[in-house]
Amino acid sequence: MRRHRVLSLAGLLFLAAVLAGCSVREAPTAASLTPVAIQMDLSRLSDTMAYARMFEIVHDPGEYLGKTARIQGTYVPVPDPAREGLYYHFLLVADITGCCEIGIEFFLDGRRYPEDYPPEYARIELEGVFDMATVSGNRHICLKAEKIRVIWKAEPVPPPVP
Amino acid sequence: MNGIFGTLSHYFTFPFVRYALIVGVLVALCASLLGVVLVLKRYSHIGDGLAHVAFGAMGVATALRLTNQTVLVLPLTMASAVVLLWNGQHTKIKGDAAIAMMSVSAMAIGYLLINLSPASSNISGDVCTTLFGSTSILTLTPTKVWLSVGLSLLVVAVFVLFYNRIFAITFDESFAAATGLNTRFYNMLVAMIVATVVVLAMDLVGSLLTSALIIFPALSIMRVLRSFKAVVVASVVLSVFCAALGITLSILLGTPVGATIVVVYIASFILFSLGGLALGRRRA
Repeated sequence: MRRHRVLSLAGLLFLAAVLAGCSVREAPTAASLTPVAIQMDLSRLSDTMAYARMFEIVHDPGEYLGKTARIQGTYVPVPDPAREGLYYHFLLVADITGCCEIGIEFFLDGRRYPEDYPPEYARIELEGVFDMATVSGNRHICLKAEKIRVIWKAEPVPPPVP
Repeated sequence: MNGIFGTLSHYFTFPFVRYALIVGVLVALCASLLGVVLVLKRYSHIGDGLAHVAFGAMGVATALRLTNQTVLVLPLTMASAVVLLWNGQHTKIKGDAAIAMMSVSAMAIGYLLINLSPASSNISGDVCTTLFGSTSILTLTPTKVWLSVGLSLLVVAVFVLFYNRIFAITFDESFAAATGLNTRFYNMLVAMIVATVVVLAMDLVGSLLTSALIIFPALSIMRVLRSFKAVVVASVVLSVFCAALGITLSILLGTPVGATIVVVYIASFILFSLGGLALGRRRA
């Protein structure tokens, strides 16, 4: 009887493993995740993994400086309260639930705001190199973007009804 | 299939994925060890109550802007565990009423403090992460990983060291007391270990889902096995398997980690229930 129980247990565990394996969708291979020009392609990761990867990059930037990356997220421009007309540009990466978000500042050389930038809250993809920026004496990681692509634009917020 | 293994091997080159798997497996192991005791003693709801208390403690730690919140959350949750057991024996508000009262009070106070003194602009995000784990297991710092490893080893050591006494108070507390065993002390010990496991499990599945880690492995294995030792060992194996599978599925499919792990536990419970039914028919 004891042998039957052990066999049943082993059978159930095996069945669970097979069922779990069948339910997984086909994902890209490791090789296709890293094209030649881009060293870190976060756009190919799931939302959960992209968020976790960004969290690691922002909190421990040392080993990522100088690496090329492709990242997707939400574009958020933030005005400088001290200097009128000056905006900081952020890319927000959220997890699948949308409750966790992490932002990274990015710079686009030779572009003027707002003409050359996407609309607020647009879903965008950036390609660039990780670098360090200094704001008010504080150093933080940023992305020197070379390419920007709008994936989709957010619905404009209707004006309040008087 | 090669694609899945390729993606997995790529994901496992990321340190945070390895950390998540190590901590997840250890937490699942500890939770399942205690689960058998708690289910048999009909204390399953204590884990849930303490998880709510831990959320409240997290709210206090957030309001105090503590960098390492565990230093406050763990002692507060442990103290609550002791109060709950003491309360159950010595005052007019007993058992489930005391747990319910403490749970909702801690939740309300914690949420109020988080709102009154927000540590970030994303309050709903902070609350969501604490309640459901979200991706917090994938954002562990090395310090937190070592703390989790240390606490997990401590829980296992206490369980192994006091296995016979825990066994005695689980099955017949009155008889154990009559033989001279300090049952109150060992009940407190179990409560403190549960508090530790609850705090550890919050990073894995969030405070609302921690009970699943504690009760599901024991309940599943009890469908097919009867002896205490066999249930404990098989629960540990099943729990570790489910946690590892849940984490792996969530990173592959991009689903919330905590919820995915709990769904795997539910699936295992259904499978073992069917297995138990089949075994029952064969025995009959």
